[in-house]
Parts: sequence; C-alpha cells; structure tokens
Amino acid sequence: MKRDAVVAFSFLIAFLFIAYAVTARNVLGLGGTELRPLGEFYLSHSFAHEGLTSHSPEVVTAIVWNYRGFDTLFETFVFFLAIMGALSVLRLDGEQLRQARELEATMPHRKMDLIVRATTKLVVVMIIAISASIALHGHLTPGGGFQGGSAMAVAALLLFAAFSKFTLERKGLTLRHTISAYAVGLALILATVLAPVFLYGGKILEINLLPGEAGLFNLDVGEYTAVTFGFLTVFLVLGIPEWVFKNVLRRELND
Amino acid sequence: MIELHLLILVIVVSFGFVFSYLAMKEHDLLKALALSSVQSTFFALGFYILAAPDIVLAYLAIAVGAYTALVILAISKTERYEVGE
Amino acid sequence: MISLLLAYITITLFAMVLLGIYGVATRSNLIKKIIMLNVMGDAINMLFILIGYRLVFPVFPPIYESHITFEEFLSRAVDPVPQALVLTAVVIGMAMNILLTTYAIQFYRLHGTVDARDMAEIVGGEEE
Repeated sequence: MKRDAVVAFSFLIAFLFIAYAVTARNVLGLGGTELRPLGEFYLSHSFAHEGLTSHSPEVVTAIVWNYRGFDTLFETFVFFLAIMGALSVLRLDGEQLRQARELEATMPHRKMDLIVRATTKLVVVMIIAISASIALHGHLTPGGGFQGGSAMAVAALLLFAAFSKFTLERKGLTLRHTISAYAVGLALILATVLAPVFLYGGKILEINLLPGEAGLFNLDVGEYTAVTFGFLTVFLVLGIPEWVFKNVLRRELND
Repeated sequence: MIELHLLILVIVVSFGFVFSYLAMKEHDLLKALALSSVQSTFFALGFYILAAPDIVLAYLAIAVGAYTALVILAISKTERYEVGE
Repeated sequence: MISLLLAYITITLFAMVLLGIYGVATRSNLIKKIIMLNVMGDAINMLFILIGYRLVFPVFPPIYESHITFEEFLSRAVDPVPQALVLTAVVIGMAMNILLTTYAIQFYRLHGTVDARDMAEIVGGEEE
C-alpha cells in the first residue's frame, strides 16, 4: 500500500511539472503561425525546378525517401528483422510442417454463409484497388508504400477471416511464396538505391536518384510489396491453430 | 474559425483519454482491446483535423486493422481474462 | 480562448502518456501491457504532429496542388517534418508489436502463463 502511494505521488508531481512547463513556459513552441526553417526548406525545395529538388509535390514522401532516405532504408531493415525474429521463434521445420498440414486437413471444414463470402470477395477487390492507387500514386497524392502495404494487409486479413488459412494455401499463397515475394520487394528497393552508383558514379541515396520521378516510384512499389507480404507472412504463421502446434511439439518431445 | 478545429481536437482527445482509462480498468482483454480500438478511431479523426493525410492512411490500416487482428490472435492463443491483484 | 484550448489538448495528451506508463507498470498481464504501451505511443505521436500544426485558416496539408500559388502554399501548409517522423514511428511500432506478441505466445506455450508475477519464479529462481 505504501508503494502505491509513493507511485501515485510521483506521477502527480510529474504531471504538475509537465503542465507548468507546457502551458506557462511553452517549451514545445506550440501554437505558432510561422513555419520552422527546416520545414520551409523542404516545402519550398521539394517541387522546385532546380536545386535540391526531388520532383515530387508530395512533400512527406519526398522527405521519407529522398531527404531522409537512410532513415527509411534502415527502418525497412528493422521491420524485416522484426518479422524474421517472429518467424524464427514460431517456425516449424519441413517434417513438422507436413505433420501440421495433415492435422489441419482432418479438421471439420466449416463454411461461412454465402452472403459473407460474396460480400468479402467484392470488398477485397475494392481494397486491393484502393491500396494499389495509394501506393502507386504515392509521389503525387497522399500515400506511399507503407500506407498501401498496410491497407493491403487488411484485405488479406479479411480473406483469412471469411474463408480460412487452408483455402489461401490451397490457392498457392504458402509461406515459401510470401517470403519470396518479400525478398523481391526488398531487392527492388536495394536495386533502386544502388542504381546511381553504377549508372553515373553518384553516391548512395543521392537526391535525384533516377531521372524524373522514377526513383520515388520504384521505392514506393518496393516498399508496398515488402510491407504487404511481411504482414501476410506473420499472419500465415500465427494462423495455425494452437492444438496443431501442441500436437506437433509433443511429437517432437516424444521422439 | 481555427477555434472550431481546436474544439474538435478537444473532443477527440477527451474521448481518447476516457476510452484508454476504461481499457486500463477492464479485466476482459477482448473488451479492453475493443475500447482501445475506439480510442484509435478517435485519434485517426484527430490526425485528419491536424492536416496529416499520410498518417491517417497508415494509422487507420495499422491501428484499427492489423494491430487488432494481431492481438485477437494472441488472446485466442493465451488467456482471455486478466487475473486481478 | 485559443491558448486555453491548446493547453487543454496538450495536458490531456500528457496525461494519456502518464496513463500508459502507469498501465505498463501496474498491470501484470503481458497482453495488457502491450495494449497500454500502444496507448502511450499513440498519445506521443499525436503530440508530435501537434507541434508541426500552424494556427492559420484555412490550413493545407503539405501536398502541393496546382490550383494555388506557391506563395499561398508556403504561407498555409503545415510543417512536414513531424509527419515524416511519425510515419516511421507508426510502422516501427507495429514491428515492435509483432515481436512482443510473438514472445508472449511462445512464453505461454512453454510455461502456461502470461502473468508477470509468475515469470519471476519461472525464469530466475536464484534471487533471495
């Protein structure tokens, strides 16, 4: 009980201090009407005709992929490492995967209602179209690779819930294929980043990567593929029912 | 007219605070997740008011779609009810 | 009036950050800790975007459109730098969620509990 009182008292002190600093002293600089110099530089240079321009009216995508390109490149690798970490904790090897397939095939096949299945098919087509337009127009209108990829992951989840993981795998969307597609997306990003070095001896991730808008477009497409199939990989592994996992792991212990 | 924007933000932030407090107090994890999704939806409206369409597109898909599905899968594989103190 | 509303918004957001820290510290279920961590992250992201907001009306998003002049765009668009940083933070937060959830599930498979109070006995039994 004494510990709780100490915790509550210290939280109250912290709250009062923050409230004083933010309101009376305005340490965050809130409520200005002027732009900060860095923001003004990006806004005025992103779509200019000469200088450090990236030929993109969409300033956020220009910052994410051109002006702060290294940040986003390594962020993509952090996302890759997180998904590979999750996969290496949950993975089953070849023999175990075969056993899991057999166990899943013995499960009673339950079908959703016709209305649910038909509506899901319609909505999934719409979501795929919208996510493609978000991603491929990422350098002109709001959007980009991350946004399109996460919208696409929602479409995959919808299919997952209305049909089943088993149906998706029978249609050819197995773990091996999703990981291969993820690798293709990452390879496209790396190729676009390294292209200026071999084409005209530039530096890695220079502003004006490729002529015109090709650089931003390629990076957006690569990120779209990578994020989509990264999410899909995790959900395919997590979608295996728990009793299948327990059976497979118990067999491994007994051997 | 800028007061109107700020008033909408006041409502968004107040509802967000209330729903996250309710999510902290809830012992049924599925209900807590639903309450925190409501808070995420309000915050997406707030990002729209703050003139950040890029964040809205990413945040809605991730915080309301993928994150909720991920935690529902995790709850279905572990326990649904939190053990009280 | 404007400064009062801004003060209310920022103080409530900071209260949400503290609420998230309190939830992470006091709730013992691992999944509940992940939910409260996300509440904290959302509040911090909102605060960050609010720093880049400008009190002009009408306010434009940082996307140039051809039906306005460049000077008008510069005088009305919000700061794009916080938005680019928060976009990174949202995706990294999701990657962190995937990893944390995976570890919680694996811990439940191995030891049959996701309670932080039982973890001390299971993992490290040598203290005291």
